[in-house]
Amino acid sequence: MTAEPILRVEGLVKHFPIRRGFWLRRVGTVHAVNGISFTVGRGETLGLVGESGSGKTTVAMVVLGVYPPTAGEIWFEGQRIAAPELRVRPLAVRRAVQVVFQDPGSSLNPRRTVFQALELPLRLHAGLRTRAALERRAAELLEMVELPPEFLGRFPAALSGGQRQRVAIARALATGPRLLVLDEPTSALDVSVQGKILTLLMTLQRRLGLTYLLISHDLSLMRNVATRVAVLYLGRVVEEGPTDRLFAAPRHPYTQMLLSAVPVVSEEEERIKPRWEAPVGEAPSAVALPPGCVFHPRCPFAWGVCAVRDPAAVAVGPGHTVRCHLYDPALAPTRPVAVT
Amino acid sequence: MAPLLEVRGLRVTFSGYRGESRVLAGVDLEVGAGEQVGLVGETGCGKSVAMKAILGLLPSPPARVEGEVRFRGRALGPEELRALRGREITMIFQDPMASLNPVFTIGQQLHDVILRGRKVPPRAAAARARAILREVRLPDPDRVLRAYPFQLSGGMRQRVLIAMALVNEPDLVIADEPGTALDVTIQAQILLLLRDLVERQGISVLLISHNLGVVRQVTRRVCVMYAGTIVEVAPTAALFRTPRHPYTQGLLAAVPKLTGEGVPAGIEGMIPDYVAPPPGCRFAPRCPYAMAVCDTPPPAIPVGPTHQAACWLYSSEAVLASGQAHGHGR
Repeated sequence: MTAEPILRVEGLVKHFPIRRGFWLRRVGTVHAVNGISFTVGRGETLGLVGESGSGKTTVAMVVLGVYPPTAGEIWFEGQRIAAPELRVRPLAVRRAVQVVFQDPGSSLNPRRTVFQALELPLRLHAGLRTRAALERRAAELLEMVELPPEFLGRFPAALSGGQRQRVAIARALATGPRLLVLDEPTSALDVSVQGKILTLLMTLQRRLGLTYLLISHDLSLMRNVATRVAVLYLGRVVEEGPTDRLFAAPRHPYTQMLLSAVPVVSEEEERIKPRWEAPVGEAPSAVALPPGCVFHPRCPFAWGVCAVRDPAAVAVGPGHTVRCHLYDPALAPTRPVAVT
Repeated sequence: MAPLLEVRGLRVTFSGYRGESRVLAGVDLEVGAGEQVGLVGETGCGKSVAMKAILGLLPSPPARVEGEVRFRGRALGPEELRALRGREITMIFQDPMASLNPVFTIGQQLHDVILRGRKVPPRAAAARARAILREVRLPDPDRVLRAYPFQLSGGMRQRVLIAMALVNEPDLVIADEPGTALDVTIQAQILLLLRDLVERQGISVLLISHNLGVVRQVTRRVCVMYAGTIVEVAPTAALFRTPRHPYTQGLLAAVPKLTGEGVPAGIEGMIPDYVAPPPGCRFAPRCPYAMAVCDTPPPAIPVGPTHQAACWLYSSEAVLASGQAHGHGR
């Protein structure tokens, strides 16, 4: 990457207090995000992939400014937009960073028509005032998501899941954003509809020069949509790399385990999956993180150092980094078994 | 030998204010003894309605159920079904939190299930409960027995449900989207466990799912359902290698591939309105190969030794009559 990345996340930490009792005493902490750094280049799609509790949605929420980070900072187009002490986000930034949520059934207000859903961002951010101008722009937005203008008067209940998600995309585009956070944009949809929405998102990205931060648990989807992928586990990025490289040669044991567990539909796909007997165990609670490498209790390759020291990121290829002691040459002599 | 479960011409109609909604339009289904069969289809295709109709769990009215359900060659009425459910036929439902009672411990609930099977002394029931929890590889069965559902993780609850489904040594387990609510690494463990246990004990399974990959992993034979009709039946390997029905082909092509073949196109159009479904093949309005003859419901046409597709493309007379070239197997 030559130019300044559009989004730079540095050492992001987000902890949520657990409060109990009448005085709401703090009795514990959910360690949702524990030091995540990444950058997203203009026009790129960075995929954040992980299972529930990996912190992927928390990262998205901090990027969107829903809540401030506990530590670390986020830079957008060279401007610092999130840090523990920053409480208010300028309107210009909010306009430039928009979101599409997973379930359009609950992200659209059932009591508002499609026009009303599009009207508010247009008034607030595009400065349109007259009914005619609003309607014209709303119809244009619908056209961008391949819906006819008749849909302006409809309520979400009268739309199919795919159509609702198109409206949600149109609403996100209403402010003229440059970065879109896509939080599981197709998880609630049937597979035959999913492809249509993904194709639309890819077309819009090219046409409008958008940058995507794509959040999903679906590795097959990531493989086909993201330009780079970061694999999250318990609030840490355990592996990051260009999509084809990461899928062709996954290095972190967790990435390998995750890939081996994906249910696939063809023998060609089966062949490229890493050979694993079966995934073991469940992710521990983010309230009490394991010491050392957070993955070591489930890792078949773990040895002494893994329970003690948190691994640093090691480069294993161009733009491909992994946080695992297996790839630290200095630790190789201490390792009891050879890695395959 | 007669199959263990045999469903013939199953029709389900719901009456609503817009008129009759003809959801199932004559579904035929077989599950052999010790066979694992998948029923796969998208939201609204009627797969859950089919399951409920087979189990006799559809309230009537509003539902009207026609057709025949035979178990071990016997036709089943409501009384027989009630006697079979929980004993010879058991169920695993999708959402483990909703299928477990939150105010009773796992031990109490498992105990009730065991007693539904046969009257055994409490001590024997407790031993059986511990044994089955060990079989589904739950660590520390005694702690699990004392626990309430909310104290277990999603994966553990799903294991408990599998234990409940298997504890009375049924002949047939009907599983509706098992593991769908779980993460892939947990889902993979659950599916492997289920497959091992049923294969070892020779239990038949009817697995209902929208996830083609899951069905491919667990079953030997697959029925593909679209808009209340079975469009294709084939051995699992054959179905995924050479899908014949245009809907199955479209569905498989719509799944994003791990090999990275780009964003899939999906299928044009939407499932039909069940109040006014297309007169013939219900997929015809979305089908790239639709012909004039598709206005007549297609029969199940053999396209291989144990492979059938309900599609006129495979009927030589129909294709000749329509005079159209077709390119199946795109």
